[in-house]
Amino acid sequence: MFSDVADTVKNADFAFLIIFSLCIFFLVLNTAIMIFFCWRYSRKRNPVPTQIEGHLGLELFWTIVPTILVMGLFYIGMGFQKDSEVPEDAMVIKVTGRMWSWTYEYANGKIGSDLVLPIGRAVKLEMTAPKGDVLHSFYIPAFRIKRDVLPNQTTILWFVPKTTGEYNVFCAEYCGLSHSKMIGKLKVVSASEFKDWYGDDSPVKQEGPEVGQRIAVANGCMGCHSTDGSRMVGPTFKGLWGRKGQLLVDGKKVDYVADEAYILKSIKQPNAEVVDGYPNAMIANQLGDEDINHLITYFKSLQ
Amino acid sequence: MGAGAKAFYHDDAVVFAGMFQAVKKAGKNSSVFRAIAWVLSWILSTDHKRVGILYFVAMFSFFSVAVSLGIMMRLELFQSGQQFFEPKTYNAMFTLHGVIMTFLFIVPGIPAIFGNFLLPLQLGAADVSMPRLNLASWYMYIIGAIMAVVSLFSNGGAPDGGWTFYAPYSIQTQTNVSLALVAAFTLGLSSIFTGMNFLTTIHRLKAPGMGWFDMPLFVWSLYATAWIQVLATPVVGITLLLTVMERTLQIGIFNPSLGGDPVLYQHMFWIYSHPVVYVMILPAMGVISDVLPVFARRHIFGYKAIAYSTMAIAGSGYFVWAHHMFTSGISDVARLVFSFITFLVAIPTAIKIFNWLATLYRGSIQIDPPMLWALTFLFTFSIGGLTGLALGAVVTDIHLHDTYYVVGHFHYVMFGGGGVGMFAALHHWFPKITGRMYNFFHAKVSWFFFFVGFNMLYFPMLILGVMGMPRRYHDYLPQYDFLNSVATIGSWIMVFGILYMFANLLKGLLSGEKAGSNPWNAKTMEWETQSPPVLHNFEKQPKMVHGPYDYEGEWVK
Ligand code: HEC
Ligand SMILES: [Cu+2]
Ligand SMILES: [Cu+2]
Repeated sequence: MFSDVADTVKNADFAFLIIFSLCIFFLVLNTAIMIFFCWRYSRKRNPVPTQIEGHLGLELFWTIVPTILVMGLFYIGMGFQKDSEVPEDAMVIKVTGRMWSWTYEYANGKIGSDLVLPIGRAVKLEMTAPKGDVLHSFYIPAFRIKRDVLPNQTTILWFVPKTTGEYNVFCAEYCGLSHSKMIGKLKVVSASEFKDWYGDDSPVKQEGPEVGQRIAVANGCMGCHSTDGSRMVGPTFKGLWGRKGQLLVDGKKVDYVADEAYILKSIKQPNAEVVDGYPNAMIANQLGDEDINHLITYFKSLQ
Repeated sequence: MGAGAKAFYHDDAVVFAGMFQAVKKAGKNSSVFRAIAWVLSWILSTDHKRVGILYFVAMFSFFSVAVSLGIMMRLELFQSGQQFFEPKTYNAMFTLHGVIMTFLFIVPGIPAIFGNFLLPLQLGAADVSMPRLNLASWYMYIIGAIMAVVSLFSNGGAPDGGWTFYAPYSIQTQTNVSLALVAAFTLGLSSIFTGMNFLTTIHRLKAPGMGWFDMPLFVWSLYATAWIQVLATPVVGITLLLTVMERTLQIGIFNPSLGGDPVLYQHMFWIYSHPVVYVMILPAMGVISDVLPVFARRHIFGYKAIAYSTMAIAGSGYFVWAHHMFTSGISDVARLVFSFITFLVAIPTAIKIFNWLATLYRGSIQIDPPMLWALTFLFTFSIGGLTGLALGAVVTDIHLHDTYYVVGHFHYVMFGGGGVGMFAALHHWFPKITGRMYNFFHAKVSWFFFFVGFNMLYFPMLILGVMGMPRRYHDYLPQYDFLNSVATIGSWIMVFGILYMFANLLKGLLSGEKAGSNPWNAKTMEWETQSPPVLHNFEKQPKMVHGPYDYEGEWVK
């Protein structure tokens, strides 16, 4: 009867069914009684009112019945995924929520901006936001689960995906300009597909542009920059290397060419010069010169 | 005058009476001076009725601003994709809408307008017990409101972040958090003043012969509300102090960059703000308890049960705050405990609903406009209360938290409860306040537009939330298109209804028929004096001769 996309869904949907049925029952009941009384005891039909000050029995009745009902609802509400019950063999994935993207780091160091999971295996997400960032909330509506993500602290969320498919990941805590665009993908795949994608637990080795790509993903650059030429919050990385454009400096337009020095500066001091036609929205980061050199190698590969 | 009343009695309702008289004298021949004198006679008057009307004017001005912002938000959300406003503008709009609606409108709400006007009248007193403090509280409100508006627009433009101002976003977003908190504190102080004033008035100034259980239930609701105002508001003060310490001394309290804990902010915020939810709704419940018997011509059912449940709600509201935080990372045990208490607090509300329904039983019901609004309250507030159940249960709240379901739920509670209760009060006491009557037909037609629009606007939000659409979204996935369009169209119909309603009331004020002292033939004491009441309310001290809901022998007339 209930969809079975994850182990968290059944309890939640059962509770929804009971609670909403009860809501509809009482709303219909109350409204019907109200309308009936207004009709039956209208001034026309009942010109002489009867003075009734109260009735202890009734009063007790509608104190005790709601009490029993809400205790029942409380009990049903207890069926949430307890933090204390994480299975020991759960696959641990580190989640970083930042303005305005999600990144995932697996045990072997693999990093991605989509969450890829094998079907049927318990996962434990260890979630945090970078220092200086704000609150986010990791929300998978299809799985009925949500947990806030805080800077400098780790919160967890665990579940077992049960049906392959693609699901939305929303941010449910207001986090600024592009809060409503902080949408990620969860891909649940078969065990063998996952193995092909993931490799094994030995640390991934990366060379050439891949190192830079990893840095860009891990630092959330992809939240604002595309690699396919499309315009997001910031200019695309595609063709960035050697691109000619204009900067806005003190209200005047200045020509520039994206060379090493320029890229170094635009990453280290993102607010010093702003590309014409874009908002001054890039946030400071903690990338060192070496990281940026890797990034430049990566940018060069994106022609 | 009773002994109590005499002790607090003031001869002249205008403070700085000498100055006022001088202006008045000088104004004999000049229309400008006459206008000044007229304004002064309002803003310097300690007469509780004038203070109530001052609140009315100020609050409904803010209300109309916030409604306009709401309409603009709905326009943006008409379809997915950007419609009219940039994200930055939209984010500022929902923040302003929330701040104004909560802090400047619905929280002071019914007590400040109708409580001020009616409390002394319903008790048979000449004024509240501290009339000067009462006027001062209006000034505090205005100062607080101005500071709030200034804090919103200084330091780099209108803020975003929502009316809850969660840390650390609110700290980093460059807006004037300190000033905003000072504003909240000033508004809080105003509400503490009002609360203290009402408490002493109710304790000291009941008419001779009036015992606690002879008071109208509206007075009981003001009493309970006043206790919340006095006890919960200081928490804002503490939060302010902590924030100032954090900002000036760099002590990490809420900001994780300084080693503080943002969840602590949420605790502090909701310890204050959950009880405040009851400040918004209890007075509306009081209005309903007073309106239903008048138009059903019978005694309220279960007077004591309603009075006690009012106090129970006020007393228990302090222990449920963390139900706003089930996804914040608090422990399993904390979530269970707060869910349990939250469900307990639902019971007194259920009791009230059943008592109101029972009040209709074997009455002699006439659905005049105030009654229409009161019955509407029973419907819309029931939806508000019932939709709260899914937010009290942990497993369902985890899905619904911070989605449009919550937005729909609290609009059904605040607007469908507090707002509709206020409209009921407006139609019920309009003849007392203005001395004139409005047109019933137009009142009912405007109600119809409001009712249809209201449900078209907020019911789809409940469904959108169940479908997983988060709140505070400038844009959304196309799967949410249809219901958002319905909601936007609903907002037009609802606002048309509101405008229509106020136009009708305004017409009544300007050219309505004289209402007489007791057009509804009601039994509470405010109807025993003329409309509008004279300066000190009653020609001579009224005595309690029958109860507030005593319609015995009614049909003989
Ligand atoms: C919050 C959105 C955002 C994030 C996250 C972000 N940027 Fe940017 N970035 C921008 C915007 C907007 C601009 C254009 C305005 C400017 O120059 O500041 C920009 C400009 C740039 C430029 C200059 C591009 C050009 O066409 O001249 C580079 C290089 C760059 N970003 C690199 C990065 C790197 C590397 C990261 C990850 C550490 C990153 N950005 C993260 C928003 C962002
Ligand atoms: Cu967000
Ligand atoms: Cu609450």
